[in-house]
Amino acid sequence: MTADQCARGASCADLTDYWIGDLDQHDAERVEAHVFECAECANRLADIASMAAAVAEAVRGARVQSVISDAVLNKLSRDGVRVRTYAPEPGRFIPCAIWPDDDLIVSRLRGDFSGYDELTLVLKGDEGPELSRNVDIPLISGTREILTATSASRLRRLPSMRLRLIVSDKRGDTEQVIGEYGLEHGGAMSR
Amino acid sequence: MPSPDLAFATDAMLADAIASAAAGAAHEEEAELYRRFAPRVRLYGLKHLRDAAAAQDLVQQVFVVTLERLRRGEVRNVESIGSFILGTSRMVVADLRRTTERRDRLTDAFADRTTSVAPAEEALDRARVENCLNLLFPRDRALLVLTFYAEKKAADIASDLQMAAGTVRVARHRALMRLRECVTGGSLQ
Repeated sequence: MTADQCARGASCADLTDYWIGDLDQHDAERVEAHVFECAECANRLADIASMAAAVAEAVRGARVQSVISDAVLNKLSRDGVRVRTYAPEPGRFIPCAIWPDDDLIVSRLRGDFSGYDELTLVLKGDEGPELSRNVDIPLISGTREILTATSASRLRRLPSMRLRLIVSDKRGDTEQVIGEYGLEHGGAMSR
Repeated sequence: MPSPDLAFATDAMLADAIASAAAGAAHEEEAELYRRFAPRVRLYGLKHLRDAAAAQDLVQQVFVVTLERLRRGEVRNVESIGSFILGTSRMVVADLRRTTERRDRLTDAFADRTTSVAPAEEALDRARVENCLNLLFPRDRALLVLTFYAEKKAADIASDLQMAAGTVRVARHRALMRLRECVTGGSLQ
């Protein structure tokens, strides 16, 4: 699955759209008919379907770090993923901890992030190196917050420490900080 | 593994050999036809029935019909055997749906709909998929999460991320390609 077309000229992107259900009935039937005539596209479609299932399973298993939407958060809850949410205010530290039952930790970072070109989210120790840097994170339109999900198992490994979540925008060669959010990470707790 | 001769046979040649032989005599050709088309029928079943067991049942039913019709010489155009198998798949799925709808009306409260099921027996290295997913660009990762977990259509994602729907379709396909490349041993672009 490296080229965008099969040897017969069919679009590989159409296979993705077909699997997701993003084609109208006419186009979906056209793709189906092609898959039953083209072994190459049948293999590609199998690949796409495998990857799609693996992505869904990884998210459902709370093993993906990502900016998410409320729709994703709601679905995770419906799927039985145990989510703990923190909503730190800009410029302040709030206490946080990871409990044994937690699967996923979601931080709600509130602020006006609209109008920026390239938002970057950095997680770092208060006085230490960056633990992660996510450049050009997506912003869900119509919201005044960034929801970022992190696997609880990953955070459980961190010692007690002060953590900073920093949202910035890149202007030329310089980073302009838009908001800093503090978490007094108490480490892995037990009941 | 198919014999070397069969590996180079076209689908039509296989179908013709099955139709020309005494009923059930073309064992190898039948096995090869199954090997080529069973995964496609299973994918078709997963797509339309959204249930792995039902998709596997579909494969069996479709091949019973296909091989019987071929053996009896009832497939008029063996050149279009793929089209015949697709048509049979559509017909059987329509029948299964009618049965399922009746059953679902009775057991709706207990229905367990698996929305994302693995399409093939061959399993991906899940740990590697997760690692690669976490290495993607954040925007790519979010697109894949919204698409394959939240099952959002391109139009909905476009609205969420203030992108054009066409751009979403291209971007998510590329994101999937990058993920696949990483999972299968390549590097991230």
